[in-house]
Amino acid sequence: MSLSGAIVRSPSPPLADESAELARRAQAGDVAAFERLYRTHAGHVRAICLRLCADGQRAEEAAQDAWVRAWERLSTWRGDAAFGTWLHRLTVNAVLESFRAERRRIARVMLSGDEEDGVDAPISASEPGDALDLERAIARLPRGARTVFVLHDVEGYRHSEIATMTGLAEGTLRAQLCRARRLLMEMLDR
Amino acid sequence: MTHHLDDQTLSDLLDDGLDAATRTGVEEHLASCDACFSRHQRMGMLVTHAGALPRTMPTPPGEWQQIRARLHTGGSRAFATPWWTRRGALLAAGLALVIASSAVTALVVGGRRDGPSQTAAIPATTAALTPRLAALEYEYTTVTRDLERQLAERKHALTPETVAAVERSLRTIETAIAEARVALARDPGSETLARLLVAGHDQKVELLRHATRLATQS
Ligand SMILES: [Zn+2]
Repeated sequence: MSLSGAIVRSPSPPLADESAELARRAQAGDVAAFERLYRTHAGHVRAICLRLCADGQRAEEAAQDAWVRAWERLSTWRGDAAFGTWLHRLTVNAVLESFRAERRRIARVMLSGDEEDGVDAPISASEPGDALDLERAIARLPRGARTVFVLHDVEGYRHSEIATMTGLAEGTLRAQLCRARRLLMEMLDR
Repeated sequence: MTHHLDDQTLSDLLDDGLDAATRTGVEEHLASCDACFSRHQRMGMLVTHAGALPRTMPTPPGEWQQIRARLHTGGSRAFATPWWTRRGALLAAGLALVIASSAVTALVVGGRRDGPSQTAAIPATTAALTPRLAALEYEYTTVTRDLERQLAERKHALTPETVAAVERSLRTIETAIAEARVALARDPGSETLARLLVAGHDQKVELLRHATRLATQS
């Protein structure tokens, strides 16, 4: 693992402790405590939703659903994992479930497959390698590849965790990750 | 190995997903093939950049109110205070996040492009960037100096071509780091430049680790 990986992903104990205390109060029905959890974690929930959905409106709905679900399922947080870890996983699951529901609901080819959503869309020209470009390029990935890339390379989940969350076999997952990286390199090279 | 390495192999290598025998073959190929080495470097750079993307994004205005309205709380508990009196709490939460979370997060959490940021409004955030970045750079320097020392001791185990390739890549990365540092001196509040600087250091560490590992195995 890279040094930055260690730096970026290490949870900060004071924040984690504070969240744990707030989560325990929220479990007892304290909405003000839940609001403080929201204030602390909303930015990360938003980032997960926006990157996975690649659509502002959908990301907004997904984030709200995740928070409502978090409130409803607070009793399942046992305190053995950091509250943030629990919440982020719940958020990912909420988004993935909305994808599955959408596939069931809408039979249109446009939204059901994996090849359609914009791989060939033009990338706006600005400095190559710029972080903005990377965000835009991620948003243009096909959904399957985007999901695995965001979960693995941006959020830092392990293959086994992603396999559990997505129901993908690890071989499929590795292929999707490779596909995402290859497409991103192509898009950023243009 | 006569064929070039395919992307799947390079991707798996980055994720430590190759068995020992395959890995050894792949690393031998990388040590002797500039094309594959450079593609591996580029893929590694992409992964590094992805890992350095901001962990948080600004939330849409009024989001909490909409969520709050959907919470079943077993009673109609209207807000006790109007939203604007809670702004202090909101800012405090944002500031706590900046101070308590990781250095990289702190560098990038302010000033996003797609909307007003909660934390960007806090002057302390911007003021805190430079010392934090300096501390982070110090950490990187310590690590790279150590790796450089290890590599210098084992350099003789590598082929001259590999040493040349590593040195070429190092020069490129060091130039990028130096340029980011100069640009940051002019624009200390830029999150993009801060991220580029961090990504450059990260890339340097990865390259030195890779080369040291090759030298150790040779
Ligand atoms: Zn090759």
